[in-house]
Amino acid sequence: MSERDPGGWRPPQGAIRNRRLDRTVREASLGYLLVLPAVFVFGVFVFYPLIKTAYLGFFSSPPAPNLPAHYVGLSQYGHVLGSSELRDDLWRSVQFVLLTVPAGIAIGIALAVLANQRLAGIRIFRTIYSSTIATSTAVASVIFLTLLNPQVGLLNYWLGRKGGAGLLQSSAWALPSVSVVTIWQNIGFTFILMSAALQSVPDELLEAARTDGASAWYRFGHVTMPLLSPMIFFAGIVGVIGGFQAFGQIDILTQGGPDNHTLVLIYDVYQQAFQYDNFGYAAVLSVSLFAILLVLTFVQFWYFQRRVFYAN
Amino acid sequence: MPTERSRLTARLVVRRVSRYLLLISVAAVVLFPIYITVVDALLPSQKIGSRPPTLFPLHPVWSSFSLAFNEAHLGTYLRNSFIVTVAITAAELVTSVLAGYAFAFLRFPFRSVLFVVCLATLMVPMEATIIPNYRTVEALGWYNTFPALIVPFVGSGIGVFLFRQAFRGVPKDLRDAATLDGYGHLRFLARVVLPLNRPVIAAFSIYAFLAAWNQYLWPLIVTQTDNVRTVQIGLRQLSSTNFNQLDVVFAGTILAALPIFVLLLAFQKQLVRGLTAGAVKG
Amino acid sequence: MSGDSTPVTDQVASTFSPERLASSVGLEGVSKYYDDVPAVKELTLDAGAGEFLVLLGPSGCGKTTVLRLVSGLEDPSAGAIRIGDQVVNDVDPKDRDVAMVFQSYALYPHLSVARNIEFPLRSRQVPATERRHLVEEVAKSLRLEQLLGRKPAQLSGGQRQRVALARAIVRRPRAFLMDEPLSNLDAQLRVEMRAELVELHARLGITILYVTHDQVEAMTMGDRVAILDQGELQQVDTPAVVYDRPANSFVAGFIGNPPMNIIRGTLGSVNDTLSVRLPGGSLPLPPPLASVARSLGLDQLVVGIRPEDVNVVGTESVGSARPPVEHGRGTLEAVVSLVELVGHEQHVACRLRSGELVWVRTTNDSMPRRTGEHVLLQTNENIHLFDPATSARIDV
Repeated sequence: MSERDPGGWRPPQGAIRNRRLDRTVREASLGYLLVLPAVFVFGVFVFYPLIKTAYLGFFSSPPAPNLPAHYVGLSQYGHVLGSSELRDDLWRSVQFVLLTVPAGIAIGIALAVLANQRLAGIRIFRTIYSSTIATSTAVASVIFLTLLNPQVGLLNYWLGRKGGAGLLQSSAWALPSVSVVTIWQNIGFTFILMSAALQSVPDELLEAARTDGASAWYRFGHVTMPLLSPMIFFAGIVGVIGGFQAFGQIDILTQGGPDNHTLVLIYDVYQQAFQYDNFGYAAVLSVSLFAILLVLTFVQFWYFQRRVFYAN
Repeated sequence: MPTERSRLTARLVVRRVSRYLLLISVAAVVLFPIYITVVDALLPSQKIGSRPPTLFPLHPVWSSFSLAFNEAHLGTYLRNSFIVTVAITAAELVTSVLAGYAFAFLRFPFRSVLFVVCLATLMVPMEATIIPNYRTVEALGWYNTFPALIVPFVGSGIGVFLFRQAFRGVPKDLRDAATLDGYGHLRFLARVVLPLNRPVIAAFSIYAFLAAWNQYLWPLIVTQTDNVRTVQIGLRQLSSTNFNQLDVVFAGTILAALPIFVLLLAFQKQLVRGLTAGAVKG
Repeated sequence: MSGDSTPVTDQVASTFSPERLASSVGLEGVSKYYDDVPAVKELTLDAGAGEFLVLLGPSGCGKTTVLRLVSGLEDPSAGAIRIGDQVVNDVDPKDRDVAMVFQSYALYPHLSVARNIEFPLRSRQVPATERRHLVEEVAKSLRLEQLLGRKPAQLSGGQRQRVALARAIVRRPRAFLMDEPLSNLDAQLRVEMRAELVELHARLGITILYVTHDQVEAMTMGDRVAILDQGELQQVDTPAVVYDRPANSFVAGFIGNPPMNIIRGTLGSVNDTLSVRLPGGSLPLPPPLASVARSLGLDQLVVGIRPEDVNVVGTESVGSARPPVEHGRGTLEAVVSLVELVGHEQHVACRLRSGELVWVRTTNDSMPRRTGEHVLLQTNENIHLFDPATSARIDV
C-alpha cells in the first residue's frame, strides 16, 4: 500500500509480459489462422488448377489412357487456337449469347413494366413472374425436353410438328430452342432485377415528363430507359458471362447435337476432357474460354467499381 | 351528363379489364411449363401423349410421385443434395466469416495481398479449373464421394468480400469497448459482430444455398452412382432412363424443384435484396 | 475480480463507500509516435488516487491519445504508464482494471441496457446472481431501473450516457477514463450531467481522467486541469491557479470566456514608469514585475490581460484631451469592432491601433457601445507578462 495506491493494486497473475511484441505476434497469428481455411481451399482448388490447366495444354493426350502424355509445348496451343473447330465452337457460343441475352432482358423489362402498375392483386403477378427463379437448369431442361419431345411433346404438337423431327432434332432450330429454354429459366431473375431498377425510377421525374406533355412511349424511351440502363448493363454482362458458361441445358437437351449444332465451347471442353479423354486439347479450349470470361469479368468489375465510386 | 359519365366509366372498366387480361395471359405463358408439368405428373402415363392434350387432370393419379421418390431414387437424390448443399453453405459461411473478421479487425503482414487473392477467385470460372480439380479429387480417392462434392467449395470469394465489408461497418469504438470489457477477438466476433450482422448472414446463406443446390457440371463429372448423386444430375438421369414413364419424370421434376420453391417463398425479401445489392445500389 | 475474496455484499458496499479503493494513474516520460508524427511528446503527468484530473486542449493536442495509452488500447513509443505503483506497459487492457467512457458511448446496439451494463462482468466469470445484483445496484444509482429492458436505440442521449457510465462503474475499476463524454449532449443536458458527474466522483471517490476541449467543463469539474498542446504538457494545476497564473501565453489564450487578450508591445519608460508601449497607448508595469522585466533585458514583450480586467471608456466622457495616466492604469486607444450581448453582460471586441483585437467584458448597466465608436481602454494592474521567445510566464 502506498499513497499513490491505497488499495495496493496488482494486475492479475501472468498479466505482465512483453506486450508489444507479444501482442503483434498474437494478432498476426490469429489473423493467419482465420484466413487460412479460405485461402488454402482457394490455393488448392482455384489457383493451382488454373495454372495446371494452362500447363496441361502443353501436352497432347495419348490415344490410350495408360500411356503418358506427350509434351508438345506451345504447338498444341497454336494448332487449336487457329483451328476451325475452336472458331465454330466460339461462334456457336456467341450465337447462343446473342439469342439469349437481349431477348431475355427485353422480356424482363416488359414484364417489369407490366407488373409495375398499381392494380389490386399485382403482388400475385409479381410472384408469378419471379417464380422461374426457383427452377434450376436441370429442372427447366427436363421440362422442355419432354415438351419438345417429337412423339409426346405438347409444344411440338402445337407447333404442328407431330411425329417426325422435333425442334431439338432440327439443325436449324436446336440452338434457338435451347436458347428459349434458357430465356424461360431466367425470366424470374431478370424480372426481379429489372423490377428493382424500375421501382427506383423516381415518380417525380415521370410526372414532370407527363406534365410536360410527353406520351407514355416517349416517357418510357427518354426517362425510364436511360435510368434503367445501369441495370440493363449489369444484367447484360451477367447474362453474357452466364451464356458462355451455359452447360446443363445443352447436356440434357441436345448433348451438343444434332450434328454439333449446339456444340458450344464449354460443351466441347466437357466432351473432349471427359468423354474422349483428350485432356490436352480440352485444356487449351478451357484456357480460351477462360480468357474470354476474364475479359468480360473485368468489364463487370470495372463497371461495378465505377458505380460504387459514384455512389460514394 | 349521365351518358357521358357512363361512357367514361365504361372506358375505364374496359381499360382495367384489358390490363388484367394482359397480366393474366402473360402469367399463363410464364407458368405454362410448370403448370403442364404438374398436370402431367398427375396423369396416368398413357394419357400424357394423348391428342388432343389433356390440360386438366380429372382423376389425379398420385402414384407417380411415390414412384419417382422411391423407385426412381429421387428421394435419395434429394437427400444427397441436402447433405451437400447444407455442408457447402455452412462451410462457406464459416470460412468467409472468419476470413472477413481477420481482414476487418486484425493486422498481419500481407493482409492486402491475401485479400486480393480471395477476390481474385471471383475472376476464375469453373471451366478453367475443372480438369485438374477432377484429377486432384481422383488422386485423393474422393471420386464419387461426398467430399468431392463439398471440399472444393469450402471457400467463397464473394463471401469473404461481403463479410469484410459488413464487419468494417462495425464502429471501432465497439471493439475498443469490448477489449476493455475483457473480450478477445473470437468472443467479440461471436457476441457482438455476428448478432449485429444477421441480415448479411441470412442473405449470403440463401445465395450460397441456391448456388450450391443448382450446381451441375461439377457433380456431373465427379459422381457416378446413385448414393452420392445430387438431384440435378439425378434429374438428368431420370429423364434419360425413364423415358417411357413420363409421368414419373414429371413427378420427379416437381419433387426436385419443390424444396427451392418453398425456400424462396419463405425468404423472398432477402433474396431480392441479395440479388439487387450488387446492381442497383452499387 | 480474480484474487479478490471479499463477499458479495462487501463488494457492493465498497462500490459506493467513500474510501473506494482507487489507484493513482501516471505517465512518466511517455511519447507516442504514429509513423513519424508525434502525438504525445515526453509527457509526465500524475493523477492522484481519487483525483478528478481534466485533460484540456484543442483538437489534435494528444489528450485522447493519453487516454488510450493509459487504457492500453495503444502502446507508448517510449516511457512508462503506471497504475498505482505498478508499471503497466506490458499489461493487457482488460487486466489494467480501468474503465473507459467513450465519446460515442460505444453501447452494444443489439443488447438491452441491462445486458450492456452486465457485459464486462460476463467475461470475468462473475456468477449470474452476483451479476444481476451488481447491475441492479448500479442502475439504481444512475436512475436507470426503468430502462433496463430497452435497447440503446430507444434511449435519449442523456440516458445512453448514463448507461455508458453504468457499464464503466459496474466493474468497480481503479480508474475511470472519460473521452469527451458530454460533447454529444445538448447544452442544457450538458450542464445537468456535469453536476451529476461531479457528484458521482464525490460519492465514489474514484480516480477520473477526463478529456475535454471545453474549458468551462474543465474549470468547473476538475480537481486539477492539465492543458496540452500538440502533445506537450503546458501546465497542470488547480483551476484557480491556471486561471490566475497561466504558465504560458497558450494557456492564457485558451482559458477564459472570452479568453485572455494577448498583445505585443515594447518595454519602455512612460512618465518615469516602466511600461509596455503599443501604438495608441501604454500599460504601466507594477514595480515587482517591472524590475524582473528590466533585469531580463527584454525589448519586446507579450502581454496578457483578461477581458474583465479592462474597462471601456468613451472618448466623449473625457473630452478631447487624453486623460492623465493613473498609477497602475494602462490606457489604449481603440475602435469598437463588435458587440456581443451575452445575458447579463456584454463582450466588446475593440481593435487597437496596432491592429490587434482586445475583448472586454462589461456589465449591462455601463454605457452601451456601438460599432465604429472610438473608445479608450483602461486596464488595472492585473497584467500578465510572457517571454516573446519562449511564451513562458514571466514571474516575480
